[in-house]
Amino acid sequence: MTFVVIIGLYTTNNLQAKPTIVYTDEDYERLNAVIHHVENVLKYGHIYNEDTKLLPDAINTLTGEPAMWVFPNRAKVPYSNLANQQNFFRTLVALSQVTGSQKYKLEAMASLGEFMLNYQNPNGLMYWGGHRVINLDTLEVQSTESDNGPHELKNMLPFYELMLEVNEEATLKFIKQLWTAHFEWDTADLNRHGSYSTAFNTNVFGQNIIPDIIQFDSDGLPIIPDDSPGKLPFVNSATDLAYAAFTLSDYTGDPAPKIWAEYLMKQYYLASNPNTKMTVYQYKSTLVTKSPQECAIPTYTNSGCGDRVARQFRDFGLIARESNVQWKNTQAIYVDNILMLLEAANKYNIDYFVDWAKDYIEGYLDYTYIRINGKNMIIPMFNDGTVVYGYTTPEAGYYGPSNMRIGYVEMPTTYLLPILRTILSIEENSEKEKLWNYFREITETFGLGDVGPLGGTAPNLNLETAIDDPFAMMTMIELYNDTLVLDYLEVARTIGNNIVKERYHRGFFVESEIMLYSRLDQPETLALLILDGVIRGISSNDMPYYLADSGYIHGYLLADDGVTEDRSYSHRYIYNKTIYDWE
Amino acid sequence: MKKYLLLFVSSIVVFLFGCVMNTTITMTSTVNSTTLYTGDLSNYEESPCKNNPLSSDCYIPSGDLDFITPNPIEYTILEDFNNEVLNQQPMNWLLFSNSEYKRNGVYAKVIDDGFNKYVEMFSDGLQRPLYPQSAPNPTFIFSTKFNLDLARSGIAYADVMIPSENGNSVSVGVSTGAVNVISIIIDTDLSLLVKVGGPFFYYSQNGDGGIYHLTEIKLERDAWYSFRFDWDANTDFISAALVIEDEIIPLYSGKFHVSNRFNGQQNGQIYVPNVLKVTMPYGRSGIAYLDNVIVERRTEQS
Repeated sequence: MTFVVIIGLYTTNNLQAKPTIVYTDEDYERLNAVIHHVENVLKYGHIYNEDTKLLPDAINTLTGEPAMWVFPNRAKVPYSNLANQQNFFRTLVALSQVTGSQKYKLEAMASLGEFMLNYQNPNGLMYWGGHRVINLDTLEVQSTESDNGPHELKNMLPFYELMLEVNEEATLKFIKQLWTAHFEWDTADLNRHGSYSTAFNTNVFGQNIIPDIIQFDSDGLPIIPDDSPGKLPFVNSATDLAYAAFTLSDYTGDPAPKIWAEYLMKQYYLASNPNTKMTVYQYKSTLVTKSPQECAIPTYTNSGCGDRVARQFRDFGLIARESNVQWKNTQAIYVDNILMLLEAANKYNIDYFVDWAKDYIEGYLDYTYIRINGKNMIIPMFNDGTVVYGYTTPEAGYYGPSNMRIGYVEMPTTYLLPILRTILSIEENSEKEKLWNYFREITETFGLGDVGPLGGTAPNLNLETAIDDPFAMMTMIELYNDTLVLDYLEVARTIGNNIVKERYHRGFFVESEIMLYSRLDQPETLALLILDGVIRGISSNDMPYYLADSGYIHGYLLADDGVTEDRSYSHRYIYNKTIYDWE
Repeated sequence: MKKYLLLFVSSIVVFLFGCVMNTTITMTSTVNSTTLYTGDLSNYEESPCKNNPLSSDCYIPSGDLDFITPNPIEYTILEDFNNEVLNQQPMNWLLFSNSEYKRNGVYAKVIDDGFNKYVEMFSDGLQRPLYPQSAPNPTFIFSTKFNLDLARSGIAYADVMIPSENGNSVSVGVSTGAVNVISIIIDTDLSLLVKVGGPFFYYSQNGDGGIYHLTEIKLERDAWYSFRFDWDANTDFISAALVIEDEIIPLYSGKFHVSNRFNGQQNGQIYVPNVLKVTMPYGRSGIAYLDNVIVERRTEQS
């Protein structure tokens, strides 16, 4: 009957009055859906092999069976890859917080505990990531690449807080070996692939910082070295390395990992275009190590043939480098990396990370953002502003087939959070204005309504928005946290209701009603629980934090024709299956 | 003092009452903010499940999923192409191509020589599947499927002819998914080879292109040849033979852990052949013909 707003409750980080919100039946219905999802994942995940607490990465929502990786010889392997389950562990911890039942957190701890005890290589690396899984039939480690697939993390950003709680020794050893296996201290070569044969280095982080890799030409432009022998310093791997090192310094008090993480992030900053501020996917190109005969075939895209963009987009001259591409892999650059930089800036007081984040995202929006036909779009270009729109590729290559016309790229809602968090991290209002105006236009174009002038205290939101997206919902929650304007919370509730209506089917959260698999790493449940916590008065700072949704498996598999071999990703071959594709 | 305190508390109560009665609330903070809500608040009520979210009054566990997995159905192949449409690719067959293939860079179409219908297969040899890279992938991959997964044994037959004009090298045999089990290869000089295993190239990481067994047989152009392939996953037995009229000329027989050489499961389940595949190599252009494709059950008598 009543909706009471009480004045006078204060949060420690916000001097504004915090209203107490009535927790309604509709709020509970969302939580109820999350409980059902979690209970079903635990039920069916454990039924398949009761000898383990490990869970599959995804569950077939018709049968309850684990998702299977199908090798080229038809071998079907039910897989568990804990790097791809981090959002589920965060969900379990958050569910314990809002329900008051510890059983969910204990499930997460049991699964992680078994994994860290049994599936850590003696050198410290975990058997997880892009190319290694646990076979749930045999409970043995399985490679999806060669017999000895490498260690690879790309924006997985593990839930280290919980891992440290479960097994401190294993977690610290892993973080240290992550750097030893992937980073070369004397050259700053960073390899997304780490070897399980690399010995543990007791002196990890003990080396002196080396001079910056990036030098500048006479025009002040960065020179991207092309001397890396097959080791591509992709920013998505670097984001994981930096995040791990910051965690290590914070936990142990040793400043060295943090210093190396700052050094690593600085190479990307230096490699950015100083005029546009747009940044890079990698700060090195690879050395040519393959023969001209091998590399004469355009479809042979091994990085040993040199920079793959230089090969396929050679009409554009020197700017055509993998590092400079601004239409592909930009989620890794402008979403995941920025979220990590801002998290580090906030937690560890690295103020200049906020400046870098602002430079990156503002430069990117300045040059690439365009609204077309009521949609937020990206103009494809290189990071000096050279537009690629309309170009037709003359031959096949790493970026796609021949005769491929490069068009606008739709901006996903994931961009909302890095833009908003950057704005909220900037101190001076005058510095926020431009980014806020982009944010205002982008949110309105996504159908959320008008957040109003800078500060967001006078919005005119679309309270009945049809959007059913967890990133938009997180954005509304964070705007509510910052402004305490209840309209944001109401829109978040509406989006939450939409998510349940559109994405909760057969007892699981799925991408849409017809999709077959429910992924454990999906962000919906964590976002719904953060909303639930906020309504209950739990600060979102005290709940597991949303950082990424990037889990994947990469390797060799049987193509959909059932006849040929392909090398591809789990989300292209498994998570795109509908209930009509399966029998 | 008490009077002032009472007055202050009364003011707060009156203020809160006012908030309750209004559907549009403006919250004033003691510091600096306004809290705005423009929606309808009249039906808001505290949920009884807020503090008991897992109680039986609030949460009733889901019932079991009721989807019943269908039983696998076995099926074989009996294909003489006589009922297929002329100049069309036969039904139930797949011909691989991707966006890099030229139009008609590969084709497989049913033709009629006045006595018989069969398939003309052409490959320009210019493109090939992207993966596995560095493996000898063919340009032309023409296949049909069968299922003898329960019997785990079978026999396949196929007739092949290389024309004297623009003839190509060709292979035909049985595969498990993408992995060759056993096939014959007619080379450009018409020598006859048997290939066991391969490629499954990257997973094996040993450049496994299969093992080739050269026979002493030389074939002739413009003549049909019938080949027979046997497999029995129960005993790891495979064989290939050339069939001339009623005579079976053995080409190769031996043990092979069917499709499991580089399996995901070292000692696990063996996956049996389910594809009959015809290929023509990358780098060579030409034609071959195919007829009478049969896959049947293997019995003790056979």
